[in-house]
Amino acid sequence: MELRIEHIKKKFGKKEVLSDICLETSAGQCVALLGENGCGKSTLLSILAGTLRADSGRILVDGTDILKDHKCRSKVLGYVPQGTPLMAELTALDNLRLWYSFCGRDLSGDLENGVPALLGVTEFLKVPVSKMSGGMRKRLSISCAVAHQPKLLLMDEPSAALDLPCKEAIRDYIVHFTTSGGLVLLATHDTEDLGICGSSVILKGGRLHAMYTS
Amino acid sequence: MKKFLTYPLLVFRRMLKSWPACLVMTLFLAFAVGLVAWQQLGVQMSEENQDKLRVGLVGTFGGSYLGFGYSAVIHMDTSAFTFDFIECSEEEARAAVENGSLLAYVKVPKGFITALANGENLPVQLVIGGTQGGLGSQLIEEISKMLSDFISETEKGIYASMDLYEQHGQQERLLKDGDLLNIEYLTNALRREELYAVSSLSEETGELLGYYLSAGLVVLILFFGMNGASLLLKTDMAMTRLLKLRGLPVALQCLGEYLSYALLHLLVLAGIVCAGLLGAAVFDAVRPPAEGAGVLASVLPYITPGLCLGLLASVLCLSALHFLLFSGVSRLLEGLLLCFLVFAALAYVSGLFYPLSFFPKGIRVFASFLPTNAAREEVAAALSGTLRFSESMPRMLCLLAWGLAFFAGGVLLRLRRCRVDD
Repeated sequence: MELRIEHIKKKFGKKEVLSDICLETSAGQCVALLGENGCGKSTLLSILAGTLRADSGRILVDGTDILKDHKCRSKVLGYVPQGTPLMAELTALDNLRLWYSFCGRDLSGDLENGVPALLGVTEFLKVPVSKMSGGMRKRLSISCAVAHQPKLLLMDEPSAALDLPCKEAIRDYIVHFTTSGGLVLLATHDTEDLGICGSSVILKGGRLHAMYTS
Repeated sequence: MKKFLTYPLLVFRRMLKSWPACLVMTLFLAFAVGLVAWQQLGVQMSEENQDKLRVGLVGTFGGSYLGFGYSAVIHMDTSAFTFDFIECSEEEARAAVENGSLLAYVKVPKGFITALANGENLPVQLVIGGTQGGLGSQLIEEISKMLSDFISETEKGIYASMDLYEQHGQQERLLKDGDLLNIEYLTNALRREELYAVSSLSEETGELLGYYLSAGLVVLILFFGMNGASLLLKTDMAMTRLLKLRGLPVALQCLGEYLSYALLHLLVLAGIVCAGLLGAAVFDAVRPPAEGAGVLASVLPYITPGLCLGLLASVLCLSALHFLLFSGVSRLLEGLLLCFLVFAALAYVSGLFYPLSFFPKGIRVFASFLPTNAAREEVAAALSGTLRFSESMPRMLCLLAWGLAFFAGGVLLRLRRCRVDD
C-alpha cells in the first residue's frame, strides 16, 4: 500500500494552518508526526480521516484519491482521535458491537484472538465506559477503530496521559499492525514513541520541515 | 441493514439506563404541577362555593318600607347574588374596606325616604376600595344600582298606593295590602333573572377541573424534555462524524435517537400511569369505599383507546420538539435554559396555565395552530368522552405536521453542526 499526500492546504478563517503539505510513505511503516501544540498535526490527521475538509490538495492511497472516494476511505482507513468517542453509558462489548456492525465482521472471533484480545479489552467487556480508566478507554477506542481491519491507521496522541503499562501495550499493538503490513501515522509528543517509528516528520508553521528515517 | 438497526437499539439501551432517573424526575415534576394546580383550583373552588362578597350597608334600615326591602334582598335568594350584607356605621365600613374585610359598602343617604316621598330619588352611594376593580366591583356596582332601583321603585309604588287608598277611604286595609303589594312587586315587577345574565366559564372551557387536568398532562409531557438534556444533548460531534464516515448518515442517526427517546418518554408516562393506578388500588385496599366505586374503579373508565392515542400523538410530537431544542446547543446549561423558556412560553400561550378564553381573540387564533393546544384539546376530549373523529383528525394532523417539522429542524441543525468545515 502506498500513501501520497499532495499539496494539502487548510485555512481557518485568515489563519493558514496547513500550507502545501506533501508526504509519501508506504506500508509496513510507522511515521511519527511531530511538532509543537497548534502546528497542525491533528488538523492533518482529521483531513486524512475525513472529519475535516481540505481547501485543496489530494490524498492518494494506491492511486485512489480518498478525498473524493469516501467509500474507499472508510474501507481503508482507521482513525483513533484524541478524545474517545464512545457511548459512555454502554459497556465495552456494546461499543464494540456498534462498530463491528458496520463492517459485518464477527466480533466473537476477534474477542478470542483479534485486536480486542491483543489489547486486553476482553478483561473489561462488561464495564461501562463511564467507569473505565483512561487507558481502558483508549484501548477500547483503538479496538473500535480497527474493527473493519483497515490498512492505514491514523492515531492522534494515543498514549497521552496513560500509564506506562498501557503505553507499552499500545506500542506493542502498533508494532504488530505495521509488521502485518499496515501503515500508521502517529501524532505524538512522547519521545519514547519514536522508538517504534521508522520515520518522523516535523510540522512547523503549517509546513513539513524535515523528514527523518531511522 | 444490521448497521442501521444496531445503532438505534444501542441508543435505546443507553437511554433505558436513565429510565429510573427520568421516572423519578417526572414523578417529582408531576407532583409539583399537581400541587400547584390543586392549590389554585382548591382555593378558587372554595372561594366560589363558600365565600361570599362582603358588602357593608350604611344607613337606617329600620323603617318599615326600607327595612322590608332590605330584608327581602337579604332573605330572598342570597346565594344567587353571593353577597353578605353587613349593617354598620360609615366609620366602621370605611375602616373595613380599607383593611379588606369588606369589599365595599353601600350608603343609603339620610332622608332617603323623605326625599322619595317628595318625588326625589337620592342616589344610593357605592364606596369600594381604592385598588379594587374588575368583576367583584362591577357586581357591587350593579347590585347597588339594583338596590337603589328596588328601594326607590318599591317606595314609589307604595306611596302611590297609599294615595289611592286614602282617596277611597281604605286606610285600614293599607298595611295588610301594602305587604301584599310589595310581595307582588318582588315576584312580578322585579324579575331577578332579568337583572343579570349569568354565564359560567365552564360553558366555554368545559369543566374547569377537566380543563386543568388535560392541561396538566400536556405540561407534564412538555416539561419531560428537561430530562432530554442528558439523553439528547451532544457536547461534541466527533462520534456523529465517525459514524457518518463509517456509513451511517446523520439523518438516520437522528431518527434512531429520536425514536429511542420517544419510546423512553412513553415508558416513563406508562410508568406514571401504572404508579397512579397502583396507588389508587392501595388506597382502596387501605380505606375501602363506604359505598359506590373505589378510586381505582372511578379512574379506570377514563383510560380509553382515545386517550392513549391522544397521549401517544402528543408524546411523539413534543419529543420531536425536545429533539429540536437540544440539537442546536452543545452546553448543558444553555440547553436547559432554552428548553425552560420555550416550554413556559408555549404552555402560557397555548392556555395550559390559564384557560384560553381569558386571552384576546388574536392570541386564541394563534394558539389554535400550536401543537400544545391541539394536544390539550385532544386529551380533554378523550377524558370527557366527547372525542369525535371529525374533530380529532385535524388535531392529529396538526400534531403530526408539527412533529415532522420539529424533527426535520433537528436534523438540519445536527447536519449544520456536523458539517465537515468547522
